[in-house]
Amino acid sequence: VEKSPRFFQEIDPTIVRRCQRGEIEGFKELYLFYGKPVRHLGVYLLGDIEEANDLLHDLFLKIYEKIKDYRSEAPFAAWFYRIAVNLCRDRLRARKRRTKYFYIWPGKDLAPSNSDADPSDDASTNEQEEAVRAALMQVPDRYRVCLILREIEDCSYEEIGAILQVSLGTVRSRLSRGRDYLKKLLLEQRE
Amino acid sequence: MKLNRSLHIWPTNLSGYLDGEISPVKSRRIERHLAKCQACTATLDGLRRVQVALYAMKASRTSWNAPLPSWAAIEVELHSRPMPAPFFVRYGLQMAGAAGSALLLAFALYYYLPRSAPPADMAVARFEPSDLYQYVGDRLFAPEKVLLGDTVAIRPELEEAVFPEKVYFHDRNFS
Repeated sequence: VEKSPRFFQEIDPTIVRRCQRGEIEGFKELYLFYGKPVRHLGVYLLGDIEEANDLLHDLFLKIYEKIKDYRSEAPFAAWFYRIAVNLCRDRLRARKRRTKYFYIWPGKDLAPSNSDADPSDDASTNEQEEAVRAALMQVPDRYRVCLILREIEDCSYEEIGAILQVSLGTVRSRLSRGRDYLKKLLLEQRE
Repeated sequence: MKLNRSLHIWPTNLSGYLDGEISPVKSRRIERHLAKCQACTATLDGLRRVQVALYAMKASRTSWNAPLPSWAAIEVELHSRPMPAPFFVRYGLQMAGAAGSALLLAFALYYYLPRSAPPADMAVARFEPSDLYQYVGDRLFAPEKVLLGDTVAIRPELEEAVFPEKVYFHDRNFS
């Protein structure tokens, strides 16, 4: 499995400075650099690609508002993803308020079709994936964020800590609890 | 099942071991323990299964190849908004005003609120650290009794006996 390209990679600081000066072209470069990784993260956190696209839109408006507050001593990627994760949390909170349980995963129509593969195999793989996704969506947000950053986006503990602004010990315990939670949910599904 | 911490590896450490995010010394200790403990091996296998399940989900990468939404919509919106100033410039004046008001309120409370005072029939004297171990009548007052506060009260009937020697003690000593 290829590593998500450009996830938690530092962008050229001159682009950030251009954004801070208010150059819209700088924001476009930021969008092209971080757009896909952040949308990918949004899909896993929100469970919906349309909502992840909306998140991307909101995120860049937020970045435009806040970019002057960014101080260069912290990694820009951590600052950027922190805002993205917080926006995801806001959306999840709003969703919880709207309805107690809501889950849509439009992955099927986006899944790459493999014509050589046996369709029955494909179906069972998709079913398994769906089961894991459904279970993952039930893991509490704080653990899910850590799990996704670690397992899907291949972030190190330090990077997760920088994004979520928590200590390494907290990252370690959240990951452990998240895995434990997911393990129980997957076992329940099998039974 | 309640995990006995003294006999088994704590799940947080197992999770860290799985990620290779613990020290080599700790890692070797865990490996030695895993070689002889079935319960911990089973826990680790469960964690591995979770990791494999997530890995399989990552492999499909359904959303990665989907095209990004058009930049134009965001660009139009960005052009229509003025870029806000940094936080401290935007809210500096309000924050300074709030801090000033709080300070003013604290001073006002300090100077104008009535403070606890000794009963009217007691004279008030300031504590001085040198005035220790002194007699009042036939009673010797130890430093810890004198050091109960920086303001002490003295009964009027003792005042004459005390002053000008300045013997101070807390009014609790009279009871």
